[in-house]
Order: sequence, then structure tokens, then C-alpha cells
Amino acid sequence: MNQDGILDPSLGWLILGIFSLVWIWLGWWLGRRAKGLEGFMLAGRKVGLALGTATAMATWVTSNTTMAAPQLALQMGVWGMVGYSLGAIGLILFAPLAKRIRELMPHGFTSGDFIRLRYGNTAWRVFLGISLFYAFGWLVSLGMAGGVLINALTGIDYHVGMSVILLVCVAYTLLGGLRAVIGTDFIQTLIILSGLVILAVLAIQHVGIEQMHAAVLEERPQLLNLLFPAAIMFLFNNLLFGIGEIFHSNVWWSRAFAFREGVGFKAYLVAGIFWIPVPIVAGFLALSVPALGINVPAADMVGPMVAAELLGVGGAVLVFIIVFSALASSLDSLLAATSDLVLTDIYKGHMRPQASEEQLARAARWVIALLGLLTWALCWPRLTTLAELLYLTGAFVASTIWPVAAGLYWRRVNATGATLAMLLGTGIGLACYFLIGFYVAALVSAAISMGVVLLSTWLSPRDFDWTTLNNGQPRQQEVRA
Amino acid sequence: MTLSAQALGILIYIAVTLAAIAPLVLAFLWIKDKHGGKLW
Repeated sequence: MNQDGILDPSLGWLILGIFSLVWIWLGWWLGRRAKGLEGFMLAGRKVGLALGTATAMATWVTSNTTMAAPQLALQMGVWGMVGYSLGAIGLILFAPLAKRIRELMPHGFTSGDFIRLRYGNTAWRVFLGISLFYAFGWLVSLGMAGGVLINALTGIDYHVGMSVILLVCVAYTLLGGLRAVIGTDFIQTLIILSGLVILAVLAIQHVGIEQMHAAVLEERPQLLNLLFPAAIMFLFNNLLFGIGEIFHSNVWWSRAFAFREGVGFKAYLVAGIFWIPVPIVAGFLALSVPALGINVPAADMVGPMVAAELLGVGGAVLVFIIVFSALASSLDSLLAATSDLVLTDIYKGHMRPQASEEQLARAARWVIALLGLLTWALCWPRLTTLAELLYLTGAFVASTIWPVAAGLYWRRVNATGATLAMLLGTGIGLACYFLIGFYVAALVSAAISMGVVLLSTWLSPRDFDWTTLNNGQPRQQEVRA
Repeated sequence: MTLSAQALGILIYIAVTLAAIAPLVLAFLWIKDKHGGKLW
């Protein structure tokens, strides 16, 4: 066991144990009133503004936001943390889409439902491939991040830490479905925001903005350079990657279906506005490194190291709690939304179209458990190449921006154009990823996808009937047609 | 083109203030939803 963590392993185990029990008990307690399949999968479609806003925020604040934002600030300076905060644009732009989704599909379950009804089976299957590849990339990267971070912060073995965090998230998602996920997200949001504000205020009090600025200017002046080219390219790529992630992923669609009528727009808008400062608050801690004179061996550990320097053991405990909350709030959401997609679009859509609601409710729990097990098995070898899969998905997800957004508002978009937009956007985006660099993949993919959608709609406009999205046709007839 | 200490300070103070307000807004919305029977 690695004993070199910032915290003592026994203290790490104590915090891990307490929070694990709290989340599992909360999951059971919150989910005990979930009735039927809709109650389990979509929290009864009655989630209010407070819980809706918090779950959108918490899900988008991942371990990456709290750990990678300081790392980016240290590597790319001010633009690194500001660029990261532009991830909020995806949430803000999704606000009108959430309203539209709820209006057009009041009985919808997944993002796959929309693509199938809007564009037909070929586009649906291409979309499912993209969506599931992304979901697994994110799940595996979160599971691995859990093990790595717990190990770095407490010295607890990677395999043990990764297994504990996955087990806890699977357990409370199984017990309470989306109600458990959304309820715990609310508390996790309060913990993350309060913790970050405490750390930021202490950093300002201990170091001071003037001193921090002077030390950075002397030792790493490029971090304050507003014309830092790599950082500006990162900014635009991150913006499109974020929009692609949110527009296509069932994590956000399932919330649009689960929110009470009239809540989706406000929840995503408020969540986006309050998400903007999170990477800046987390990231600016890194700018105090030169003033504090800390030697940072690994850039992604800069946040915990600054916290430990400022607050001693208390600071490291606070960071551990923030990171654990950020990990759990994203992992549980992803588990729930991906299992919905697998259950509705793969199990019912392709394997058992005649399944009753009771059978689906039972299968939903099996899918969550199996998804957790598969993620655990993929995380076990700790292959960094698997975590890097997430970077690759930029080309995949950005190709869906236009088919999704145009498909929701523009009746003339046709199925062939949408399918080609996803295939060509992904293919050419991937080619650019390998030939040029990671920072152009999402950008090129979104541009190609836009061109294909616009051109195909101009050449062959379709007159789509919006009521198709709200019909109650049995799925098996549509799939087999 | 270098960011001045004053601009850095403004950026950080705005971000910290907004992050500090967010939990209060969420708590307010929670109370409002709870009393209106619209929490779930």
C-alpha cells in the first residue's frame, strides 16, 4: 500500500467510511417512495427547481473540475481556468433545449428515443454507438480517477479506493434510482461549493492577490499572458466539447424528462450561471504556488497540495471531501442515465420489445449492477490509455450537436443528413485528432457536422411532423418497420 | 499582453462571490419548493 498520501490512511478510511454510509443511507431513504418504472428512472417526472438546479450543477462538477482546473491554471494560466469555466456554456445553451424536449416529448425516456422518432433506426443506432462509447469513456475515467485520487490523498490502495467509490455509487443508485441520485446531488453541491469558497477565502487571506500576482509575474509570467496561443485553442475546443457532451448525453436528457413542467429552462440556466465560477475558484488556488514556494511533483495534485499548505490536515480533509462528493455526484448520474439508455434503447428497443413495466423495472436494477461491474472490471488494470479514451470522445460527441439541436427546432432536417453528419463529423474529427492534435478534434467534428446538416437540408428538405415525437406507438412496431 | 493584479483581483472576487451566493440561492429555492409542495 502506498503510504505517501497527503492524509494518514486511517483518517482517509474514516472519512471514506462515514461518507459511504451517509450516501447509501440517503439513497435508500430518498428512493423509498419511488413508485414504478417512471418513479425509479425519472423520479416521477416531478423534480422541482431547487433539486433540478443542484443536480445539473453537481453532475457537471466532476473530479476533473476540482482537480484539473488548478492543473490547467498552472499549465495554461488565466485562460486555463477561464476556458474551463466556459464548460458552463453547454449547460446554459441546453436550457431552451430542455424546455423544448419536455414540450415535444412529455412521455420520453432517453435521448435515444428522440433520435429514433426524429430520424429513424439507422441514425438511432449510430447515435447509440456514439453515446455508449462516450458514456463508457466517462464512466471508466471517473472510476479510475476515484482510485487514483483516493490513493494520492490518503495512501489507500488504488484498487481498494476505486472499488469502494464504485460500490457506494452502484449501491445507492440501485436502492433509490434517480431520486437517490438527485437527492444526494443536492447535498454534494452544497459541500463542493462551500468547501471551495472556504479554500479560496483562506488562500486570499494567507497569500493576497497582490503578492500572488507579483510572484506569478516573476516566476511564470506566461500564466498571466492573455495572448497565450495554446490556452486560447484549448478554450474553443473545450467549449465545443462541453456543448457536444451535454447536447447528446442521456445524463442531461433524462433530467429534462424528470423535471417538473416549466422547471427545465430555469434549472439549466441557473445551474450554468452558478457553474461558471467553480473552475475559476478551484483553479486560482494554483496561482498561489509561486508565492507559497511549493514544489509540485505532479500537476494534477496542485489543488490538494495548496490546501494542505494553507490549512494543514484540515485543508487536505476538506479537499478529500470535496473530491469524493464531486466524484460521487457525477458517477451516480452517469450510472443512472447510461443504465436508462441500455435498458430502453438496447434491452427493450432491440432485445425484448414486449417487456412489461414490471420486467423493465426489475431489469433496470440488473442493468445498473452489471454496468457497475463492467466499469469496475475495465478500471481494475489501471490502463491510462482507457482514461485517455475520454479525450477521443470529443470528436464523437461534437458530431451530434447539429443533428440534436437542428432536429429539435428545424422540421426540414432529414434523417440521411443527420446520420451522415454524425458519421463524417466523427470520422474526420478523429483523423484530425491523430494528424493534428487533441485541441482540434471537437472543433473539426462540429464544423463538418454543421456543414453536412445544412447542405443535406438545403438539397433535400423534409417536412417533419412534430407530433410524431409525442405518439404512443409501441416500440416493437417502429423497430421492426 | 499581461493581466494586471487589479484585473486578476476583480476576476477572483467575482468568482468567489458568485460561488458563495450559489448555496444560499439553492437553500432559498429548496425552502420555496418545499413550502409550495414542488420539491419532488
